[in-house]
Amino acid sequence: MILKSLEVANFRKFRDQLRIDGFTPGLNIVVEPNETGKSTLLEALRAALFIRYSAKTELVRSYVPIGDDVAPRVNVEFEVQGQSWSLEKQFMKAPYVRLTGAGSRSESDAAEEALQELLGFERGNNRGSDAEARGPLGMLWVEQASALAVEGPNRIVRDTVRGVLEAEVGAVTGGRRFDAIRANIETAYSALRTSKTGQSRGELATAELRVGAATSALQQAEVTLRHYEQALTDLESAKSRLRIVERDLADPEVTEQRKQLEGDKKVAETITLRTTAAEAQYAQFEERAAAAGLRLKRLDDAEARDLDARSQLEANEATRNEAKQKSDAAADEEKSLRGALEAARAERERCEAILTTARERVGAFAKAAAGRRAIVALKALSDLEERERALLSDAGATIDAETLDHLGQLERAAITARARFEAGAVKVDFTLADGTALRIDGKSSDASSIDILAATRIEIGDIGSLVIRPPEGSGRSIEADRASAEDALAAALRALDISSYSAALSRNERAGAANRELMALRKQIAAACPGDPTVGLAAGSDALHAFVSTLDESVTESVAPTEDIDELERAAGQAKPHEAAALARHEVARQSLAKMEKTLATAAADLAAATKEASGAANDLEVVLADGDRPALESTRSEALRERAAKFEGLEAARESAKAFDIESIQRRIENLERATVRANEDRVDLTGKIATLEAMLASEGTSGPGGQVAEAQDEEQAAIAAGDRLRREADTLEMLRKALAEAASEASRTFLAPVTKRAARYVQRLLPGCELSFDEELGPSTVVRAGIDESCGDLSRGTQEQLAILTRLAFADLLLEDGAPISLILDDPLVYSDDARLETMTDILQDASQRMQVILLTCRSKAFRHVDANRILLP
Amino acid sequence: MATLKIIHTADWQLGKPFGRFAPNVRAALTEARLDAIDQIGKVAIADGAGHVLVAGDVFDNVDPGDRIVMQAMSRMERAPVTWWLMPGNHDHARAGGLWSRARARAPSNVRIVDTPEPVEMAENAWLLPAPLEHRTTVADPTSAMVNMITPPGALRIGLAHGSITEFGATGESSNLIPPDRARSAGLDYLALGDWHGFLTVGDRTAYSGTPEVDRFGREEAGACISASVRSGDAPVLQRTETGRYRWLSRQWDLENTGDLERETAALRAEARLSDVLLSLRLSGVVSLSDRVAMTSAIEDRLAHELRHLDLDAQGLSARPTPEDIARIDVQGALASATDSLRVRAEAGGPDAELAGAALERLYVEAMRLDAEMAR
Repeated sequence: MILKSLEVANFRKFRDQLRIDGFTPGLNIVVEPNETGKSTLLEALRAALFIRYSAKTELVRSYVPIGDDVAPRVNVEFEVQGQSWSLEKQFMKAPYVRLTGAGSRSESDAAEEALQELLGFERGNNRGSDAEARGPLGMLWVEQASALAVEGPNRIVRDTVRGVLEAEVGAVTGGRRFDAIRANIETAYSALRTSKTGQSRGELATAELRVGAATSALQQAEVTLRHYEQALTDLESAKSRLRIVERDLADPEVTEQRKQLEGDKKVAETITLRTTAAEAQYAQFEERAAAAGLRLKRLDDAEARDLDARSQLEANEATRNEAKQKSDAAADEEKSLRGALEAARAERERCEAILTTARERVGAFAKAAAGRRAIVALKALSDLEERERALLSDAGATIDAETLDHLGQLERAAITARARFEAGAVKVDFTLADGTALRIDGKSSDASSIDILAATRIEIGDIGSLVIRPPEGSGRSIEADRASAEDALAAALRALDISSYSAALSRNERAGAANRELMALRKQIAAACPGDPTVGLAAGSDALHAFVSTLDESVTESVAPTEDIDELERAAGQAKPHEAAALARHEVARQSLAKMEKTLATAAADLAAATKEASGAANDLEVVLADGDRPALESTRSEALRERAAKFEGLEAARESAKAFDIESIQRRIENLERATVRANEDRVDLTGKIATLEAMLASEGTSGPGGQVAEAQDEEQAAIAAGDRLRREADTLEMLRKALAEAASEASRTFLAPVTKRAARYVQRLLPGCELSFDEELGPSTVVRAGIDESCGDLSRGTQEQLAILTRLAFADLLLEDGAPISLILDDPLVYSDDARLETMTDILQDASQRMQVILLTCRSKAFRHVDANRILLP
Repeated sequence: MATLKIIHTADWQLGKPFGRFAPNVRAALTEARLDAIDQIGKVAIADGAGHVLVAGDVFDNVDPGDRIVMQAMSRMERAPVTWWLMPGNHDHARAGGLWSRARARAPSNVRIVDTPEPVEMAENAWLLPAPLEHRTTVADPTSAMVNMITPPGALRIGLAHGSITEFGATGESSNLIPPDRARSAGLDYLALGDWHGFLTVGDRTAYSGTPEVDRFGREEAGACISASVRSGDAPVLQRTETGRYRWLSRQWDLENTGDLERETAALRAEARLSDVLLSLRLSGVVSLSDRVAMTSAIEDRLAHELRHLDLDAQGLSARPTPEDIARIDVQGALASATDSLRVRAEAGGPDAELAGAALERLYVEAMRLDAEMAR
């Protein structure tokens, strides 16, 4: 097919009529800037061919320019197999279609059908979404966006291509048969295993579960059976043990043995009785012999005791007498020494009494003398104290230095103020006759002289008055100064009670002299009161005053004593050692007496005890002798000893025979026999109970048939395993079959698509040397094999994808062309993502293709295709 | 001359589970074992025998459920004969075990002889039993018969379960019975169990076999022995069939479908197929189409006619002919899948057998599809 011209009017942005012609059979490049509407041109071309004139779909309405109410119109002139055709189509308003060519002319639906027939497509849905129905031109008229996707051709192309391929490869029969069988196998397989992971499911999974369940059921049944059989074994052993126990219980030997032992026991008991009797008799005579012996011993003891008591008594009497004598002597000695002590003590006391009296008298005299001295001293002191008081008064008038100084200053200030006053003031002296009243400034005055500082009226009696005016330079302030200074001085003098400053000075001198004298006087007073320790008088005038006030008349009356104190003291000193010596001597005698008396007491007590013992021993001996005398006692004992020896022999004989029948061991053996019987009886009860339990258990367990259950479980396990194996084998078979089918399918499609692959390879080799493009069963490019590595087309770069898409279309176009289909390749703004080298290769390929078919490139990149030798059409 | 008519039977194996069979087959086989008791009862009545001696293995295992025991007892109760049951190796006697339960549930005409002591079964006729107390005993269980004393002139009938020692046999197998026991113990008849077929050993010793066959490997139907035991003289023994099901094993070597038809016809002539359990092994090399046709003829027809079929068709190899291959598809993907499977099947590798099966399945699927399309 060769497009000759295209004319549009009222079509989207082409409101005005636009006619493009000059398309040539080879390569055409339509260059136009962006947005002038090249894509709209392709749309218009599609509208003319594939959209029915009468359609009112949204797509068709979109053909109408926005805001206009006009009828879109497209006219196309083309050539198919040398025949020229003209197609005119108007949409929406008064729509029509007209196909003219090959000497015929058709309109309306007939024209549409003729067009479909001519260009090999089918009636579509008029909404632009029916790529499957558009045939080769639908595939080869590539709009901007879809050029990018590497996708399979539409159905009509596919069918056409299949037709071509079958013609070329040979009849590919059985395709549908293959699919049906494969689907059946897949269904059968997926009933047993999941088709993706091959995991068991459905019947196979159930069968496998059944094996697991059967195995665990078998284990369970075996456990139950083991328990049951264990119970049977236990029962058997319990029963055999019971038999043994019962046989033991009924053993005649045991009975016989027991009877024998009972007899032995009786014999042993008799022997024991006899032995006991012999033992008693022996003991009796032994006792008797012992009693006789004891009595003899008592006699011996009594006699010895009597003898001892008597000799002791004699010794004690001698001792006591001796002690008595010594004691008496010591008493006499003590008595005489006590008298001496009392004499010495009386002598000392007398001497001391005399000495004391003498001392008292000497003391009283000394005290009186002191009192008299004190009175004399006090008298001398009174004069001194009188003088002290006078001096104290003078000394107290001292004016302190600061006050004195201040007073001096005040006097100097008064003198100065007065001097200044007298210099400025008018001195007026009055000499008035008596009775004459003087009035100064209206006020009566008796002054003889005044100082006038201001104008002053002086009235003297009734004579009249005169005003004295002092010079202007002086003032009242001078007078005020003088008055205040004199007042201050007067106040200070008044406070000190003196007349003048000089008086103050003389008063201070007097006070100083008094002070010095006072110091001397005080030394005198101290000397006058030295104190007297003999009568407890302290130094100082106060102590003296106090002491004297206590004295009475006796002071004056005391007489001097006559005793010689020293002599008296010496006599008292001699009496004291005499008394001490007497006291010591008496003490020794007293202790000696006490000791002798103690010895005497002991001796007396011993004597008393010995006396008592002697009488007791005598009594004892008397009592012992009352039982019999010594020869009688000795014969009794020897008789008893003889009897004892006889009884001992009898006892030994009895013991000897008891040894042969040990009653304890016989008893032990009897007990052992009894214990064994008791235990056997217990065992019998236990075993009987156990047997009953086991029998009951077995009876109830046995009803379910544990052995049968194991046999059934074994069969079930085997059956389950067999069923599982059968299904697994079926699944394995199906798996192998489906794999074989899958391999065959992919192999077949490789073979089948070889022609497409071969044609595409021509182009691909030029673009991507060393690469092979393969196609899937839907004829879509699936993988690119590059250096032996498969790569899915979807993973390639956008540029490569676009290039491959164009090459694929070219490959199909070649096939279709060979089939005689009307072919025209239109590419809208292609190869945007291609680099320069690829672009050149691609344009070369397109140029080659344009030798076989018309190729129209719509582009806005005139520069990119400048190197291409082609028919260039510029849009107005 | 005293004569006693008895029925000698053994190896009832009641309670055998038959778990690997389909439920209906299983139920039928179980029922048939019980029916055999009725059958034996009928034979006894017909023969005028008042006693049935069961020489061991009354039950299949040592602890069958009460249900089995009761079913057996109720069947025996119906027949007006005395049943003498003795423990065998499958159901050996143990204190408190199966036989205690069985005795507790036994009707008056059922006697259990589980101790090796002579018992007077009829006037002047004594039964000398050798019950087994273990599954296997090294000692000869019948040795005690020699010392069992019976009144002079009384019939002595031994009842035992085990194998007869063969000449030169080492003592390894168990429950061994010397072949001359009847003579050595002065028995008029020694009724044996354990061997599932009919077998006589000398003129006074016999195995009755099982009354209803329970496994493959025994072609004849189950039976019992009608014996007339005579004092001093050898007993008169009569084998009487009582079994219903036949357990047949066959190996068919097939070359074509005609062979199969012939074999099938022969089998039909031999037995009623609904009472036959068949273990069938196929062998031979045939075309794929023949193999499919044969297996489907067996599985879709013969199997349904039989009570049960164990089919082992692995020995029947398919050698696909060009026609077979062509019937799947002459070209295209199916043909190439067929070819790849055929190559693998013929290469004989580890998955050759599986590849053969896959190929057969593909053939079957193709035929099925063709049949569907033809409709």
